[in-house]
Amino acid sequence: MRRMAAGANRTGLIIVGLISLGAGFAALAISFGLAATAAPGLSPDAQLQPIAAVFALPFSAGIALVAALILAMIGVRWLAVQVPRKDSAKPLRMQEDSRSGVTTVTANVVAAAVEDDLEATPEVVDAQAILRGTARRPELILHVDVDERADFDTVVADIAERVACNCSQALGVPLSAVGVEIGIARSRQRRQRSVQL
Amino acid sequence: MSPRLFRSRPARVVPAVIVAIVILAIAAALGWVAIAAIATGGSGDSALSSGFSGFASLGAMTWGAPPVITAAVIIALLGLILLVIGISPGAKRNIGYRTEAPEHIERFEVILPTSALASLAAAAADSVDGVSSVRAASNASSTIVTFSTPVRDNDGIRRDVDAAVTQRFASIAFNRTPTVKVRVQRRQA
Repeated sequence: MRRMAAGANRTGLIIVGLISLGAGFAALAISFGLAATAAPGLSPDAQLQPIAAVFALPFSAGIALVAALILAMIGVRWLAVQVPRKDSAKPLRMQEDSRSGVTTVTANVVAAAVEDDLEATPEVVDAQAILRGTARRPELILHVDVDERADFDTVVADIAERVACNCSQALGVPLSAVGVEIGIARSRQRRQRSVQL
Repeated sequence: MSPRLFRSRPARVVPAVIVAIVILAIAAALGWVAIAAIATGGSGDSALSSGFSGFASLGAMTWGAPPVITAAVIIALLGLILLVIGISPGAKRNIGYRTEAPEHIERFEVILPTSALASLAAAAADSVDGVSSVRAASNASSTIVTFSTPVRDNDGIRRDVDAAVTQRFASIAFNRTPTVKVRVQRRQA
């Protein structure tokens, strides 16, 4: 239910993949003599000296240092976006008219209340909630861990009719979207709930 | 249509983390060589090759040399693999559940991850008499239940397990009910 950087990951992987694929194929084309027709100097028995000569140019160490810093920044940024994001709603402004005062409710308060409400359903063992969107168009994302023998229709109906209704009444607007992810509670101790004779 | 509330395809976190770490390692190596070159040269205009002697032997190699060809093949293969990982959507990890939205909800979406499906099947199979242990694996369209039993003549138990899991799945309003496959392992208790 938390958001991952799927788009960034796929874009990054495609870019890196294309660069390495292109570089690898270019080197192979030269190695097998396919590039000699296009560029006469690039035959299989030519030396890699032109590439090595680039590193011997003056100021190349400074340029390499800058390139290293840029690469390091890309790597660190890419690693940093891997942390799953909750993307909770910004504090909801509930007032009708801001001249008479401002009423704000943080999304975590609503989410915690919804979690408590969810756990009142007997089949639900554990629940997490995230409130996204705005005060006018709230979105509720729920994860419930239900008992492995629970009747799913009852649980889903209870969430839709009771929990979502309570939340919508508390916020004073219909919910624009509700997403429920159902997990199965790791049967804490299957043996504890059975009776052995 | 607004974006779906749950992403059902993998986000490719592991390959992205690996590539990001490789980029960081390349950056560290490049930075190390550059700083070494500047330190030996003593001024900002020093050449990169004065920090690392490997560039000279690199220049002496020919394009047809086996190490060059091997490196090119490896780089091209890695690029191809990364490209495929980036483009292919990957296996679905969620299965939809049929619901109707009540009037105070505009859009109502209920999903089960395939891991939940597997533990559901395992729990159903575990309730059958004669089963000593159960494993289950699931993707979005099918579930494979493997149970072990000490009983030699286990065709009846297999049928019972199949019926129990199929019935459990049928009682849940999936968009597409997954198929069930049951395997037996005979094991002495």
